[in-house]
Amino acid sequence: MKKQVVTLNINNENHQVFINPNRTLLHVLREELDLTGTKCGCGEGVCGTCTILTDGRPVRSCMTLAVEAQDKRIVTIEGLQKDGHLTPLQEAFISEGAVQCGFCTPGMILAAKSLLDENPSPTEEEVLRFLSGNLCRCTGYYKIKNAIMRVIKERKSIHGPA
Amino acid sequence: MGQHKIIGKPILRVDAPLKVTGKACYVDDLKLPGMLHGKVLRSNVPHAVIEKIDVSGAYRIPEVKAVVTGSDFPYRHGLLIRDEPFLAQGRVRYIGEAVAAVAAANEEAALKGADSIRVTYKPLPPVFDPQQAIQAGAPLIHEELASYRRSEVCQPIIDSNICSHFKLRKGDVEKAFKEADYVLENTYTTSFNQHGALEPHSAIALFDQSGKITVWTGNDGPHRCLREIGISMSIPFSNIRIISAFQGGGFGSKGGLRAEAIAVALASKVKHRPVKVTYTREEVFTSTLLRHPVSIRSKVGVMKDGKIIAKKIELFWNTGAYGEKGPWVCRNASMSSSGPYNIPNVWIDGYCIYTNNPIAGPMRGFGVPQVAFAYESQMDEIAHKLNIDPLEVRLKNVLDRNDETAWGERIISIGLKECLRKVAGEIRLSKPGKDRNCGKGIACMQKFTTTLQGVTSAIVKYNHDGSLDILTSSMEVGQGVMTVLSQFASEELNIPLERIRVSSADTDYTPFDASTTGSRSTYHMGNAVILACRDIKQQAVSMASELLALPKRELKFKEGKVVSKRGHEISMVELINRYYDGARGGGGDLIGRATFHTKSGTGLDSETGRGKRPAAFWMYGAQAVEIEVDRDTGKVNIRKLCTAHDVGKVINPLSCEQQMEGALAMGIGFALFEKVDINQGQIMNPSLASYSIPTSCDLPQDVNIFFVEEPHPEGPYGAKGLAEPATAPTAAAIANALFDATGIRMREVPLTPEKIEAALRKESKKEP
Repeated sequence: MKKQVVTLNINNENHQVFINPNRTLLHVLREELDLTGTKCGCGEGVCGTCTILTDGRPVRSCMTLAVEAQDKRIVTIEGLQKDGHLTPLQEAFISEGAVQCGFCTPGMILAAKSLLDENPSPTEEEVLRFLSGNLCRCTGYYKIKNAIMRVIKERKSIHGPA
Repeated sequence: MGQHKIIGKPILRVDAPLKVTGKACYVDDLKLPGMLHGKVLRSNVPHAVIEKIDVSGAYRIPEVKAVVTGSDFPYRHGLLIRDEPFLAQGRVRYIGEAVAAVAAANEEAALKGADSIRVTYKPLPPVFDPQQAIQAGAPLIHEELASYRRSEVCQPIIDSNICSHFKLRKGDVEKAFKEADYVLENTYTTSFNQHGALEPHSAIALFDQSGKITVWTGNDGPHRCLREIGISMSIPFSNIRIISAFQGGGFGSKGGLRAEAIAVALASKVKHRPVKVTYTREEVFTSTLLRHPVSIRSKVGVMKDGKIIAKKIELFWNTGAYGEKGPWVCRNASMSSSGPYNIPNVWIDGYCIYTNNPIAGPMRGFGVPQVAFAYESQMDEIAHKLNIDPLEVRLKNVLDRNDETAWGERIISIGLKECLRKVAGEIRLSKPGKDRNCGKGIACMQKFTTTLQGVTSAIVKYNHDGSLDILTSSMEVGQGVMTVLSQFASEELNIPLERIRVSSADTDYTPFDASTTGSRSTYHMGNAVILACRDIKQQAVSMASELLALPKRELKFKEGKVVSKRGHEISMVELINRYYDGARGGGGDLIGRATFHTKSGTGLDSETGRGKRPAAFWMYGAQAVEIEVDRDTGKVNIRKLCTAHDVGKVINPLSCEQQMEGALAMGIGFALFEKVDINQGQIMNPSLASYSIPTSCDLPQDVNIFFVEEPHPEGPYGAKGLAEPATAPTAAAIANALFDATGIRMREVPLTPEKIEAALRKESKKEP
């Protein structure tokens, strides 16, 4: 297999890596670029800890080849903060107690972000259904759901009903 | 007791900001200079003699730096019984056992190296079923059993597959059975589970030029891990250093030596370069730990009024190929298997049995979810037999303060009756369900904390800028220990939380603590930190006395200052700086230290299972559910769940809720669907796709959590532990509700739709 140069746009910055084309995006993020906020819980696309966003959509980076992501805008947990400020989702995860061991948290937050970007006011049921693709062994998901519902509620109170 | 400022408040977790930004560092996130990667070749047969290992193929791969086998690294480990080789030595005992490991410059090369090793096995007859394993003539899995070093917890029966036999004898059960109005006898069974922590096991080991071994790991007991390596390899403890990182969940699976064993063995061969070993998800299933399946035969004698007078219980714990903490799980859970009830005559035999299955160990609840399923299912069988309300039969028998337990301990703190009444009231247990598909059920539990492992120490460092460092070896495993320890220090010393930093464990610098297991840290480390803060206060008073030329008796520590009766006051920062001459550019810190040595830990008599105070504290809780059964599919839908727990004192309501919610989610998985399917020693579903842990759609949304605060006289601010209990009563509560709805008694978990549907079908055929 021949190594090739791959250019990736991650968190609004271009990165060039020289890799085998069979490298997953997860491997490149963690091992080549030291972006270790994205986790590897299973390596087979089940647990959701490696969730990142490409062009705003949630993607399992362990099931995505880095070469496939070349012309996409990639967002990882490291790229969420704006000017050093936490996003409302991150704030809500803290204040609602949605974080325990923290291993699922980055993937969970990015999955939740993609849901809210797509649908600003999902119902509680829709939130739960959406989260079912991201596993958590610590929380029972209750406080994760609460955190997401809090962001939805806060947005509504700022912008008024959709 | 006065009003607290920080204790009892829903303080936000101090580790959360790092975790929501992806900055929290877990072992696999570490990259050290010159680091190699390790991969393992594992046994694909359940029981065999290793005739030959040909490693030459691995060395033909240029990036491969070292290969290690059991003969190169001939050590064994095991906290309770030293039976487990770092890598197989001449024999394999389960599918998934490490036979050889390879260190290479990158993971692919290591994997290729491991794949190119050839092993010749001579098969031995395997045994998988624990009850077959204890029959005469069964293949012996550990012929050397008698020669293994072991702790007194482990009581093997030599020349058998019984790794440990726990006995409890109280009163005269046979006589009581004759006097009883009714005698019931039932068998309950549970399945293999896996912890399913989202972070796979990972460790990095380095043998450096000075001869020191350093291991980076998320192990739940850094000092215990050090000790195990030191004892196994016969090297001084000062030559070993364990540096911990955040743990991405463990639930009991990250104690002992798992990935650590492989990393250390490899590092010994590639001197001076660190080796990282991160398990795949499949290896987490096959080669870390599982929850013990257990078969429980329980005979109970009751009087017409519902009073239980005798219980005789036999428990067969399938511990797999090596002991690990199996003897402990067997002892601690078997001893409590007559339930939180006052029963005058009890006879218990718990057998921890070797089989050629993957290794079983502790998993959230340490065997208690299994035994609670049995004793609480049987409570309802008694209630049904005598036509007594399930709550009433429990209240009639449940332990109270000053009662004597089966093992001979006088109860000093228990709030279980209140827990039972609370959940029964919430669920309206005595009222029938909505319709014929609905049922209600209740169950309770008792569990003790990890004790008998030595002391718990803490160092608290008051810096001369007014900030505080808490140095402990407690592990942040997700339970929030950093937050609760900060709260104790903040309350004691009147320092704002944001000025407090809690260390992660590093055995070179943080003092001894046995482990972060068994719901023990709030109580044990909490006490140690509080004592260390009080040491600081005492020192501060002495220093102020010297500085202000006032007698100590006229001074006291109050709200972060030292004050005198005559109105002097000096802040801690001023005190430290003036005392240490900080005004002239010097500086210093005030170091408080403490060792908490619990008064408990009397152990248990090996013949009678009796002990006056085997654990520092006991945890009690009750749960009630209302379920709906789909009679066509057998699926159980939990409509409502209430859980109430005696936690002594709520130190942080938010953290307490977090623990309860997580524990009951795990209890629901245990009750309804989690099962590691093992066929002839081979795990058939070693993946999170085929072994289901609860998703957000599998859990009830109508959940109510209640805390009962029956203070513990020796607990920090009265607190006990709470991480495990809510996992334990769920399965029995659901099974009891299922009986209430359908009249069908299920005595085997998980209660899968297939099993329920089959039972319903069978039942409907019986009906005319």
